[in-house]
Amino acid sequence: MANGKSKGGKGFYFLIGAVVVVGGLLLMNARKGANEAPDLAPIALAGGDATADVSAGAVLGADDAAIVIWEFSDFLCPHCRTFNAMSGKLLRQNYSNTGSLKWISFDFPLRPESWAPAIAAQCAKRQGKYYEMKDLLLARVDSWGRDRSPNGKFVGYARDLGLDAGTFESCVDGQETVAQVQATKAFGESLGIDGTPSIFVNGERFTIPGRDYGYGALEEQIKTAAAGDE
Amino acid sequence: MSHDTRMRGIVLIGLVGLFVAVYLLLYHLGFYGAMLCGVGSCETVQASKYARFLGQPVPLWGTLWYAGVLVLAFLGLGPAAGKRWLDVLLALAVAGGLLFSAYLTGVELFILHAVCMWCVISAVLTVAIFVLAEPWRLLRGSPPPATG
Repeated sequence: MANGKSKGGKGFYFLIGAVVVVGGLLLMNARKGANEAPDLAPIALAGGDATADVSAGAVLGADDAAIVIWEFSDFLCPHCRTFNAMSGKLLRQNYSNTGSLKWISFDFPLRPESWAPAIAAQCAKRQGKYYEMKDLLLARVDSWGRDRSPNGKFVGYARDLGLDAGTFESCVDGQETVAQVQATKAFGESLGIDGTPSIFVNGERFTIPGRDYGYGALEEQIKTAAAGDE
Repeated sequence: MSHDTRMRGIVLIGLVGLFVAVYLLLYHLGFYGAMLCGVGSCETVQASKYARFLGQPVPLWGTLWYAGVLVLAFLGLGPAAGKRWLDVLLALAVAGGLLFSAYLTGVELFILHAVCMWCVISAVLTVAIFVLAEPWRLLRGSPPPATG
């Protein structure tokens, strides 16, 4: 009896060891795969062939800023919402009027339902309030995110922002800015983007860390560039 | 099935679950690279507001739960085997784990409409641990025999 139990115990501890080894290897392997550089197409910087495509984005900040950030995002992407709240919005607020940062947002709808808010944001852009609408749409996604026809709520948001509601309504209902969204998405696709938010700093892909969604690292780059300009 | 066999089963399954929970925790912390939304559902689940519970990431609670169940099952294989307090603690732990897992699965199915494979695996492991722990024996007033 004791012998049989001892044998069973050995097999049990062998199994424990096997699970620990296999589990540890899988965890390390997942880490290794994550560190591999994404397979992206070569990037043409502003001033090169991609200038026309870059112009499809919504621009904030000085034209000659040392740091140019491209943000590709989807309005229904939870990480985009978090990135905007923890990093993007704060960086724009703190640095877009300092001359050091130029931020260009590109709508990159991943799902069919993400087109309506992107079109709405582009309609707000026509009235000069793209970023105000972007922040509002992301902040209120819990309210409109499950609506089959969210345009009515978007018109309400336009009113809240002081836009011409009638013009905005005809813009979203007529999907007048769908071509702009197609252009921003096409630009992202030409860069090989397959997920959002995707960030590029001066044309270089930036990997967004989980802790602060990149605020610290991006701020450091902006400050360093600003110090170099002085 | 003997008491020792069930406890060993819980240890092994709990260990697998611990790795799943640690993987999800590291993913949540951004250890595995960029925090991106792709077309998969795991990103939707992990980035949702339901991925936190009492202010902490759900995978952290999962890690603690699996570690706790592992410790209890190990104790059940040692000198504490058959002790009433251990049976009660294990029963409470597995029942709580099952309820929480059911809540999370409900959130995925009915609120987020997105199912993450790793969450499903964890839910299945939780059910298996619950079955092996046989907490209903306590309700019948017949604690499981320490050896079999």
